[in-house]
Amino acid sequence: MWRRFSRHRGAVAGVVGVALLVILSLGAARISAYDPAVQDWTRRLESPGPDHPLGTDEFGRDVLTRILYGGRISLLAGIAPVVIGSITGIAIGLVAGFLGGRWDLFLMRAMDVLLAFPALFLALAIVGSLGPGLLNVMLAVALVSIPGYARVTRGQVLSVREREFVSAAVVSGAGVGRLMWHHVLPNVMTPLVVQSTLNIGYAILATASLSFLGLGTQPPTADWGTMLANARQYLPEAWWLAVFPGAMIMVSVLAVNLIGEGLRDALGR
Amino acid sequence: MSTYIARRLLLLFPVLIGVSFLVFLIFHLTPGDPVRSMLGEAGQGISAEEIEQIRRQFGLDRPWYVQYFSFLLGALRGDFGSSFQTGRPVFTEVASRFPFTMRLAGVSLLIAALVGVPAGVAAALRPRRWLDLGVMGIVLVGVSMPVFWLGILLMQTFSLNLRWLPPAGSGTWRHMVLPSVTIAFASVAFIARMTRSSLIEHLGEDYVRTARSKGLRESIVVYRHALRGAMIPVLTTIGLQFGHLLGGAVVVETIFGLPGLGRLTVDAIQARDLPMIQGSVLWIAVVFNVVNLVVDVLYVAIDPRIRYR
Repeated sequence: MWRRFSRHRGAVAGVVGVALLVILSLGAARISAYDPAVQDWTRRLESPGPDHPLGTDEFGRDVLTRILYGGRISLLAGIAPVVIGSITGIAIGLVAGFLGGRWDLFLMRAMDVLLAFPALFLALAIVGSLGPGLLNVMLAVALVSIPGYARVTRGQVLSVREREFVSAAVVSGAGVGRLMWHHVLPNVMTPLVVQSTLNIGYAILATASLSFLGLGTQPPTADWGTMLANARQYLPEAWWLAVFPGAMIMVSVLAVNLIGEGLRDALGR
Repeated sequence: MSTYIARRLLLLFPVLIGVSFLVFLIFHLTPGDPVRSMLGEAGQGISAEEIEQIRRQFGLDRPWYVQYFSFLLGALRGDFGSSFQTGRPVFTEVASRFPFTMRLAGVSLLIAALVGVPAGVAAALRPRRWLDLGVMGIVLVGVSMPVFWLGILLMQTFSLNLRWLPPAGSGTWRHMVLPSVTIAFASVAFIARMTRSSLIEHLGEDYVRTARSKGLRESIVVYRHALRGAMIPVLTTIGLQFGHLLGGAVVVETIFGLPGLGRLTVDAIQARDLPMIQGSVLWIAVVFNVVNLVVDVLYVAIDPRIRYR
C-alpha cells in the first residue's frame, strides 16, 4: 500500500505541502523577527518589500508573520474537529450497526436530523446557540461531520458483522465490547481513514469561512479567515492583504485533498 | 410512483419533528440566560424579580416540553416569535429575505450544471489527454478554493480594477453575475468530476458496446446511450450541491453586501438574536428538505430501475 501511495505524484506533493505547513507554522517564532500582534503605525499598509516580504496590514503588522502564526490556527482547525467528529461518528455507527434494532433506529434517525440541515447552516445554528469563538466553531464543524462518519461506519459494520471471524469470536465467548473493539472496528477503518483525511480539508475551509464571517477566531489573534475579512476594506490598493492568506488556505486544503485522494487510490477505494 | 411519494412524505415527518426540536434547543443550550441576552445592555440594572417577570411573560418558566409544543405550534402557524433586536416578527423578516437567497442559489445551480456537465463529458471522452488533465486540475482547485477568497479575487479583478461589474448591492442582473459565479465554482468542480467518472464507467459497459457494434454513430452512442445512464449519479450530485450552494450564499452575501437570508443569520448570531437565528435556520432546513424530496422524486421518474421499489 505504501509503495502505491508513494508512487502517486499528487499524494507526495500533498505530503510535502502539509509538512511545510507544519514546519512553517510551528517554527513561526524562529522564522520571523516580528511579533504577529505588535502594531507599527508608522508603517501601515506597506506593499511587499525588503523589510516586509509580504507587506504590512492596516496596523503596520507584518503580513508574513501573521500568516505563519495563522497557520497554527488552521492546523488546529483541521485536526480538532476531525478528531472529535470521527471518534463520535464512528462510535455511533459502530453501535448502530453492531447492536442494530432500537439502537440502530434511534441513532440513525438522529443522524438523519443532522443531515436535514445544509451543513453550513447547521454550523451557524450551533455557533448561534453557543456564541461566536474559535472553540465553538470547531465544535460546530465537528458536529456537522458526525453523520457522515456514522453512516459509512454503519454500512461497513453491517457487512463485516456477518463474516466468519466475527462468528468465530462470538463462539469463543467474546463480549459485545470486545467484539466491537477488537474484531469489528479494525476491519472497518480503511474507508474511514480516507474520509477523515478529506474531512481535514473541509474542516479548514469551514472554520476559515466562519472566521471570515466574524464568528470564529476573534482579533487580534492571527487567522487566515479573519485576515481576509479585514482585507476587504483596503481593496483594491492593498491587494497583498487579500492574496496571500487566501492562497495559503487554498494550498493547505489542496495538499490535504491530494493526500486523501492518494490514500483512496492506494487503498483501492 | 404515488405510493413512493406518499412514503417519502411520511418519512419526512419524523425528520422535521427532529429538526424543529434541534432548532428549539438553540434557545436552551445557549450559555447564560436568554432573557439577559434579549435585554442586552438594557439588562444591566434590572433586578432578579423583574427578570423573573419577563421570564413568565415569555412563558420561559414552563416545563421544556410545554415550551417545545408551543414553539412547534407557533412555527406551524408561521409564528417564529419576535426579533430581540427590532421587535418585529421573525417570520416577516425571514420571508422577505428568503427569495433573494433562493434566487442566488438557483442561478448558481444552473451555472454549475451548465458548465460542470459539459466539462465532465469533454474530459471523459478523451481520458488522460490534455483536456482531461486540464479539467481535472481545475476540479482539484475548485474543491480546495475558499469561497470567500474567490469572491474577493473576482470582485478585485472585475469590479475594482476593470470596473465591468458592480462590486456590491443588488437589483439588476449585473449584480448577480459575480456572486453566482463565486458560489457556483466549487459545485462546477463536483459536478464535472462526477460526470467524468460516471461517463467513463458507462462507456465501458456492455450496452454501450452493443450500441457500437450495431454500427451507430459515435455521437449517438455517447449522447443517446452512455450519457443517459451516466446522468443518474450526476443528478444526485446536482441535488446534493443545493445545500452547499445555500452555504456558499451565506458567505457571498457578506462579501457582496447582498440582502439575503445568510447575511440575516450571520447578523443575528453576532447580535445574539436567538429567535431570528431559530427562524432562519428552521426555514432553510424546511426548504432544504422539500428540495431534496423533489430531487428524489425526479430521480425515480428518470430512472425506471428504481421506480417500483
